[in-house]
Amino acid sequence: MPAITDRAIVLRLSDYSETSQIATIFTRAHGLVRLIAKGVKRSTSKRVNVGLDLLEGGEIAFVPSKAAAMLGVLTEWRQLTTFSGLRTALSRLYAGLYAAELTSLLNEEYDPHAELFEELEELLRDLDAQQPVEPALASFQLALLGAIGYAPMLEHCIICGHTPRSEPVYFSARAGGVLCRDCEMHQIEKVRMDRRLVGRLAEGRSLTPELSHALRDVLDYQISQILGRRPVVAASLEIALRATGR
Amino acid sequence: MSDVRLTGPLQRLIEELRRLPGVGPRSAERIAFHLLKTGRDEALMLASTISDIKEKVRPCARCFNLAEAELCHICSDPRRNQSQVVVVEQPKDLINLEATGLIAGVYHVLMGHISPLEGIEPAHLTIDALVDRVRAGGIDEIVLATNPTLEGDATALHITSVLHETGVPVTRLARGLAPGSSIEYANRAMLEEAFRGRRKY
Repeated sequence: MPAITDRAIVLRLSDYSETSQIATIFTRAHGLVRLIAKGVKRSTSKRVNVGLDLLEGGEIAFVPSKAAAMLGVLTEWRQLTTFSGLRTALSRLYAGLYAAELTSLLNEEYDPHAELFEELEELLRDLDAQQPVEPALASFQLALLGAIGYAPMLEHCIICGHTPRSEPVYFSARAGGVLCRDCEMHQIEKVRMDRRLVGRLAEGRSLTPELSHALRDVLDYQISQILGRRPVVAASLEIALRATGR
Repeated sequence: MSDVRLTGPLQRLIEELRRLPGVGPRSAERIAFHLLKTGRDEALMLASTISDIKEKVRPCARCFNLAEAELCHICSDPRRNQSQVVVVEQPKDLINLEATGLIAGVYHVLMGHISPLEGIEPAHLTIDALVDRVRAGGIDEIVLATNPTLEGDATALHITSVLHETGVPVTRLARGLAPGSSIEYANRAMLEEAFRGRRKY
């Protein structure tokens, strides 16, 4: 089978042997792929110009797997960027890893999402360029949820369609959006959310840092509900954001 | 495959050898038959050496390098500069750095690196012991020799932030092109680091 070439971002690496690794890579035109990268840790490797690292972007050549449970084979990797600005603060680095974890958990293999690839690349570029972490991450999380068919309704009540005018306001992952005080009693699974966030989003206005954080809380909750657990990087990210700024 | 039954101890040895890194079924069989053929003393010497490393080798109480006593041979060497501490991820890195003969200081072995995706957090490493060591005084420089990977850099960033309050200078190993490598095969990050870190020739 001829090798496929594509643009790609490395999401996850695990050692397979002394010199080989298993890589989870998000490609632009072929979606998520899991590949064996033979001899990738060897300094004399000519297929890969010196190692593979997490969250680096590049051009890939690979032979896809023949069956669902099998690994494809990485045949070439040319690094184009490491988004080196991520490595200047733990909050940026963990935000990048959090996006990588969500992308690998919420996408199916060989299910392409070119727009989502662009969104991930934009997030990493924003983090690299020292843009505020939470608005950039929230924007990526919304794009991810949209790409997999879970886009939340955050501007109006998901049941009655009205913009909530009074407290309390809730969010339900199962219902897929905001619940106003008149509709919330029909839903058992729900979490309280900031009404100002709904108002801002309904008016299409930009979010303050405080509301960006509130939006991320809602999206994190929805993602945890979809996965049935909290992503593993979430706790480290929260600690880093508190310590080094959002 | 035909149903070839080996004697119990031999089969068990092959199975144990197969669990070693880089040893496949054919290699495991070759090693097992070699041990069967070899003299009793030689085989028992190997068994006793394996037993010794499990019973006698332990982490150094100060730096977590491999040691046979409370302190490793580096920490207990009075000729070493105790005020310079080189921080590495694992004992294998220490052995490699030590082989250069350039390091007069001592080490601190983290026993891994921070890996949020694998659930490895700072508390799983020996970072608290490093901070205690620095706070105890007598250290003038911390040299971070973690791997130049994203996770190595995460570990270095975390250590830098927790040591900030101590005021002890923290340095990092230089990066860039490896001697014997070729610019043709160097990646962009290596070339960037090499150019930024260029020195007067």
